[in-house]
Amino acid sequence: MWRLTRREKAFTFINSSLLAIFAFVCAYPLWYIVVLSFNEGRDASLGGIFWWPRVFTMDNFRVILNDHTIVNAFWITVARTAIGTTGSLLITSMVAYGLSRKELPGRNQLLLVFLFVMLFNGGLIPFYLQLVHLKLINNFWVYVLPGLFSIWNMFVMKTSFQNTIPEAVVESMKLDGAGYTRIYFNIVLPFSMPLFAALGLFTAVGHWNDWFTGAFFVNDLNLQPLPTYLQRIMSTIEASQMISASQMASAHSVSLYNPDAITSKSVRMATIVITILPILFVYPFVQRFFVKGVLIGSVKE
Amino acid sequence: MNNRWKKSMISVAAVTMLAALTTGCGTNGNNSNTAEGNKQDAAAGTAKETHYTLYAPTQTTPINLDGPITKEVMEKSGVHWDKVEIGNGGDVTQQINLKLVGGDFPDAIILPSDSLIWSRLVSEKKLLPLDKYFDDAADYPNLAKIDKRIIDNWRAADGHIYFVPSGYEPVVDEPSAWQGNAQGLWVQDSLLKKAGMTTDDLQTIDGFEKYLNAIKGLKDAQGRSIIPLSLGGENFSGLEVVMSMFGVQSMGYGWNEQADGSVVPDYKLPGFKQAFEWLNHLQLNGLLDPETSFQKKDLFMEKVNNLRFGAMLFDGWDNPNQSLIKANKLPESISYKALEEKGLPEGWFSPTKLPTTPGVKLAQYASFNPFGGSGTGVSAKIQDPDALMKGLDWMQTQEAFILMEYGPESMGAYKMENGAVVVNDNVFRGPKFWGGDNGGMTSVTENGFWWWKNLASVGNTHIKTMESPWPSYNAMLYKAEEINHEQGTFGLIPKSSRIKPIIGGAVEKYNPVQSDIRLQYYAKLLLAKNDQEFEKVYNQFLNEMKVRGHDEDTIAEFNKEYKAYSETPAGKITITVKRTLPRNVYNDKPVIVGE
Repeated sequence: MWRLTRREKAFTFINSSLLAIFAFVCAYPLWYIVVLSFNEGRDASLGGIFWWPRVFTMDNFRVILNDHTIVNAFWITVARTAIGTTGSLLITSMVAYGLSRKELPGRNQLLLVFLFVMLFNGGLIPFYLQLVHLKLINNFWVYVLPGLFSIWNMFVMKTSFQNTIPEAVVESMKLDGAGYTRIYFNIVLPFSMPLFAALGLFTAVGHWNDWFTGAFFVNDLNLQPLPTYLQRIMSTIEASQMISASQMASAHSVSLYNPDAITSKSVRMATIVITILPILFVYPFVQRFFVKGVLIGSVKE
Repeated sequence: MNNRWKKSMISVAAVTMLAALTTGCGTNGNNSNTAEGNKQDAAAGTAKETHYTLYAPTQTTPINLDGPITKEVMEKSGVHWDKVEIGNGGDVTQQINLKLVGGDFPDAIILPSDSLIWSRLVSEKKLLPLDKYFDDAADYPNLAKIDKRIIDNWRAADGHIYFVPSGYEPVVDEPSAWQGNAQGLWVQDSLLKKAGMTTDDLQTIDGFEKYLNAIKGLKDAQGRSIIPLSLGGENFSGLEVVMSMFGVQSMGYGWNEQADGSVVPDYKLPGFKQAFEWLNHLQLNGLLDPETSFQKKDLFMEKVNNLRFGAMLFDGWDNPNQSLIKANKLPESISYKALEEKGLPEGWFSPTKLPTTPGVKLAQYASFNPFGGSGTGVSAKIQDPDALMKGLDWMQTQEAFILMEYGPESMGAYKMENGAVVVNDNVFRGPKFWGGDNGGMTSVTENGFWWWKNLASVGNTHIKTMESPWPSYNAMLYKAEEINHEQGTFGLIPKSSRIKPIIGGAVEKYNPVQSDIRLQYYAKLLLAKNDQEFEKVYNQFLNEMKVRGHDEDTIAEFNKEYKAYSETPAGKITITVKRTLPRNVYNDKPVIVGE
């Protein structure tokens, strides 16, 4: 039986300890946020809470979840994430596949154009005007269409296709009579699942977290996604607390919720928990592809 | 493998199609802000009713245009709002820029009255000049009644007035005694007593330092050392109070008017350097909170609520008195009179007069702004401005204020008794009013009270109201403002704070840079290890302001602007307060205020 030497044991111990500390440093802030989100706001302002809520409450979540529009906002976010991610992977990978073929006429010029627009863009106002002309303002598709093609992902995919799909396989399929579309669907896509999982996750997280599009390009509250909704709720809480202070009112003795539970900080913590929780659950499912996927394309033969 | 992949692709495609069908189709269908119902009702109703759209970018809770109070306000004002578009909680300037380029400008817009966006809207000719309405006493009596000094104050650079101010003092020379200025020195009573001193001993800087030294070694109940002095939350928030002690005005961007009528920035005055020398000396002797330079507000609040400080030179609002009331299980609404009879709780903070230096007059840091907090501008392309202005004219009345504040009398939040408003707190603080979720904001916008005052309303100073005694912790804030009156640190908002920088000018361009330099060097000045280092840092600070902050350009530009502004009606405004209208702070039973 193979036994570890003393130095190897020491290395393993130190290595594990350092990684454990690193993991703790990464995970603890998240745990701290969860703890504060379940603690009464005013009590939390006294400090000294580290591991468990001291005065437990659900009111921070109640304030956020109370509004019925949150359910709608949630489904808008789910829909845009599902459609946006799938569509983006499909469109981007098709372009990447085309550009990975050396026989494509004008390939280098096209790559140059893509590189240029990736590095330089027109800014917010021209983009907004473009959306106005395309009638995408106040339209669900504003979440999906502008993000359908990601140049950065296209470059990653192109490099990956060139390196992982053997040219001989493509050639043999061509000899068997397969066209480019068939090669794409039967060879390129199935061989690139790890890459799709990794890039899909990045795209999905981007869609899930994006509050800006909903805030600036959509006025209709029924079309606003979850992050925009939460941003609005935060502003409302802060505003109402400012008003209460400026009114110099006596205590809200007949409140529906316990006023002590709510501070802008405690609601902010609950907001963070609600935002990150669903997307956090996605990670374990795609983890097995993850490391493999992000390394694809990084090494050239 | 291939089959599995195919299956999963088919599933993804199916989900995508389904989601696209269920969500995408409902694009513009149902805008909750659009009161379609109202539109139809109105079309069937009287021909006089006029319909408008409103944009309130600083408002973030959706407005329900079917709310009972909203309906009443619209009916009485004769103005029907078809759509109230709200903001998203993000940068307001950015939101409005996009609106302007998109060409989608509403009939009316509400903005904070001191917002720089007004200048932008005026220069792009998006707004209608409203001068004639404030002069037409026959048709718009309530708008014409607004003090001309208020109108003059808000005139744009071209001399016209472009918005209807809201929340202004109805009688400028007889304002409310409470303007929200609680800044100053706050001292922990029990520690002062423990040090064997009284507030009279704190009237000089030497006496104040003696107090700080006396409490330096003390421990709190948990055995933690008392921090003798705090400068408030993040970004040196209490600095303007310290500067005042050395005769320097540092509010706004720190412009100080000189005897010759010119203005110089605070850091060019000797008192500025002396103030930092004093703070550096306190820091080196362990008398100042060592985390002053870099702490965030959360950390500061943690220390406040744990009674770690012996004294605070700060804005006053974040004192721990309300927490103390709760911690001592006292009724939250207990009046100051009742609390004094019981004995103030251990750790209670009281506002106190500032220490002074012989020969130095305290500078103003507390401002009185009778001109109102927000304004409503009217689009230059509006169809029928007169009808809208007629509605805004009605909203200046006391009747409108009472409706917008408490709802109709039938809702039970108030009743009129002998010409005074008597509030029923059980209803007014209940679920339909301020007791609702989100701190009442949902009820505010669903039922439609309070927020309409942002659109147009007079201040309530002269509305006779039966007011309950203020809770004791708020009484302390009021007392702080009284002290500011007494010691001369209170005054009309200075001219330098009322001037709007030239769009694209040096002041607008370099103010943010100068603010960054200030914060960076304030920390360095505070943390200098000795006099030599302090001197070196101070000179570096002046040099940075000159080179990176372009202060020669900003000073020259602002002086020119200041001189020109001083010649305008707004620059010549003087207000002599004849009397202030007190609030019910020190009684233990309700009394009528506003008369």
